[in-house]
Amino acid sequence: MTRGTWTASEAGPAALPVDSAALLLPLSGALYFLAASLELGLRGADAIVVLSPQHGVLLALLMLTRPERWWLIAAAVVPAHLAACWSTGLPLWQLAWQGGFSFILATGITTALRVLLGERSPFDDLRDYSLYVLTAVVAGPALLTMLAPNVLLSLLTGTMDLAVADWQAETLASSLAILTWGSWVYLELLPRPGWLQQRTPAQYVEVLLIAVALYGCFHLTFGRAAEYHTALYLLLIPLLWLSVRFGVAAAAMAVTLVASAATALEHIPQSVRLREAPEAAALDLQIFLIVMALGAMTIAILVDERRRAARAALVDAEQRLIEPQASGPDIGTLRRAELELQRNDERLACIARVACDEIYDWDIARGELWSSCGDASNDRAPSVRQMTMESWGCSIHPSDRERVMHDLRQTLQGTADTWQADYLYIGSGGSPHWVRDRACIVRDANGTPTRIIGAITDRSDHKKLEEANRTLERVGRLAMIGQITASIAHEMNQPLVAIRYNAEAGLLFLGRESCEKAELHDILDDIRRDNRRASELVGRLRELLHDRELRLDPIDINDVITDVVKLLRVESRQRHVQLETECTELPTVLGDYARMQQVLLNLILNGMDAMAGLPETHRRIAIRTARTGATRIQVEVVDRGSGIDPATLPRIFDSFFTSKEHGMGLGLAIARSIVEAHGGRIWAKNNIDGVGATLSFEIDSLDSKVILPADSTDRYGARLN
Amino acid sequence: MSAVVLLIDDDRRIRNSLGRLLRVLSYQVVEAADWDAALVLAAAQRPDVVVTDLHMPEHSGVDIARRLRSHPELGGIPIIALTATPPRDDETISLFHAVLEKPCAAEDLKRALTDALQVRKH
Repeated sequence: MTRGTWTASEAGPAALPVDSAALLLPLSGALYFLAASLELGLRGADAIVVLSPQHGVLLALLMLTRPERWWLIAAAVVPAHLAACWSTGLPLWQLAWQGGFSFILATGITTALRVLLGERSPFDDLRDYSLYVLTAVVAGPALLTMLAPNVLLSLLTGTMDLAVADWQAETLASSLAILTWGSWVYLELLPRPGWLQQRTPAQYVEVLLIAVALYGCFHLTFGRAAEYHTALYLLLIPLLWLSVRFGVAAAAMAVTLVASAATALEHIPQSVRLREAPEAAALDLQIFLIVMALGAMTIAILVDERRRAARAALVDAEQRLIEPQASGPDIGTLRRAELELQRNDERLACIARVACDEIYDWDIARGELWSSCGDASNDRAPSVRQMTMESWGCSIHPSDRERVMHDLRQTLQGTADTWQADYLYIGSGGSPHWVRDRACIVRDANGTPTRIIGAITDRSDHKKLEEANRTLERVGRLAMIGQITASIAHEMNQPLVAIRYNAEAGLLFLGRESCEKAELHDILDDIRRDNRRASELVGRLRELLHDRELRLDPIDINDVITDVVKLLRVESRQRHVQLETECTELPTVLGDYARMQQVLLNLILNGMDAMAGLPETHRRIAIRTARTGATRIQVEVVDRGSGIDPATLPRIFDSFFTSKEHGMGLGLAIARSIVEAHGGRIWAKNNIDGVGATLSFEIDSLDSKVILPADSTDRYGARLN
Repeated sequence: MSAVVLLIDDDRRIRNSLGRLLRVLSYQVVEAADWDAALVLAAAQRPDVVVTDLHMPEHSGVDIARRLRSHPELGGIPIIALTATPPRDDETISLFHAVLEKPCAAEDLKRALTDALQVRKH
């Protein structure tokens, strides 16, 4: 057990640290010899026994030793007793009786204590100490001192008064010894840290102060000049101070020293003495010392017990904080929740680091932004900072700021619960980089947006890839248009020629005397119509040439095919390829008209290339459309060429893959990327009859209400309007 | 009585506008959109002059000219070609009385037609 205010205070079963005979024998013998010698020395001039230390020492030794080892102690005590008491000149039988009595007293009390307390130390709590006091201090000595040689002899000789007086004196001397020496020796020999160990310098100073106070008070109480009973209380001050501050072992030592010193005095001071007779005064002193020791020890045990309970509660609380209990809304649950929160934060930060660059939760109402990625000042740990719409806007590059802020404001005003934007982000580092910002919008019951929770992903690499793709696509598109220049020129020229003839006719018509208005009206109407036709063609060509984002409108694929076949008229004539269309009525699809033209142009030109080596009469391409399933439409371009080598079939839509001498390998790759951007798929197969191949694609009709997959919009940055 | 012109062009709008111009120039016009119609009309109407587009699907103006030239009765009808990309080889050019760039001015067309009709009379 520790005796400290600040060191750990442990309670537990008592066991002598040294259990071997080799050490137990000399230890017991030496201690007993010292105690017995002390008793002889303490006897005053009147030879009155006030304190019998050997009883206390023997009790402590027995309490700390297993009963099967008690014979070792007995073996050590007998010679020690004889050696110590030989000088008294008493006959041997009386000396033996004294020793035997001492042993009986100690073993009797220890046995009773073992029955009551088991292996427990009696100084660990007040209940056990009470049992100790009743058994070892009151009942044991009171009963067993009747066996003391002088008491029993007085009884046997019939001197009852002397027997009672001797019994009183012997009992109180034993009680005091057990209270003081018994406690001190027991506590000192317990295998626990001493009460002076692991103290701070201030505490050593405090112990010194207490010692000085104790000495001073002792002098004032027991000095020859001390005449007042009230002076006795002075001694209690340092004793209680020590008991409270340094625990039961310190108290045991102090009361033992005080009791021994008081007993050793030549006189019994006035302050203690209630009666004049030496025997009565000795009793007064014994009673005073017993009360003092009991008081100090009780206080010390009480304080230790409280301190231990408080410490145990603290340890228990700490334990529960670390290993929370399964049930109950206790502090453990809270701690667990806190740990879980902490883990969630770590989880979020890790996910943010690997999946995207930043996760944020923007409380719009409070203007607070939680970000998984703080700034450099806090080591980029998750942080919360103030954020308004304006301050957020400052993190967007000026070239994108207005567009993105307008877009977000519009979304917030609407009912959408998601938002996405690509923009140039100016991070804390200052250098702008492309990001994709995807967020969920949290709204209250009225639909008012309250929070925006989202993730920002760096898209710089993707943007570069996108740029490269666009460049590639542009190159492929220009190459394709270059291929059909003659067709385009012819198509452009046709309405211009018609306009010119109509204009010539109109002019001549005006020169006539009889000019019919109706005829003139027809001419002008035709001119207007041809002009529109030319404008439309120019517009579509511009669309085809223009490098812009994917724009999805409701379109009829059959119209696209008609236009493409017209555009390829000259080309097909020059190549002697016959174009046939087998179009069935189709539902509207959501598509980009110009891009779809591009797909068909690429597929048909590919078919024309495939048939370049065939006799002219065999060169035929059929373009067919059909509905597949309830919501999809399919377009097939069937040529009668040499077919596709099965080994290369899976790769014909790959970029830069070509089997032609002068091909770039872009046409079909571009066709595939456009079809996939429309949420469709494209494939090729050789015809069943073994002649030529069929290139097909299918896309969803507008009826299916299919939202384009996110990835398909990436390539062109398309957005549904 | 005005001369009869057989106009061959696959594009309806060209046929309409050029036909109108020819009529304003006081010719009678018969229109054909392809090879078959052209041969039928040539045989049936016996036009004084043929005006044809050169670039048409299936059979071009050159094919038609060759066929007419080889025809025992229709071989003498002068043919005027209208094209945006005039042929460069003499053999093809020799099939036609004139090759005009498309579109041509009314006077040029008139001159070519008048000239062709002169030749036809002789």
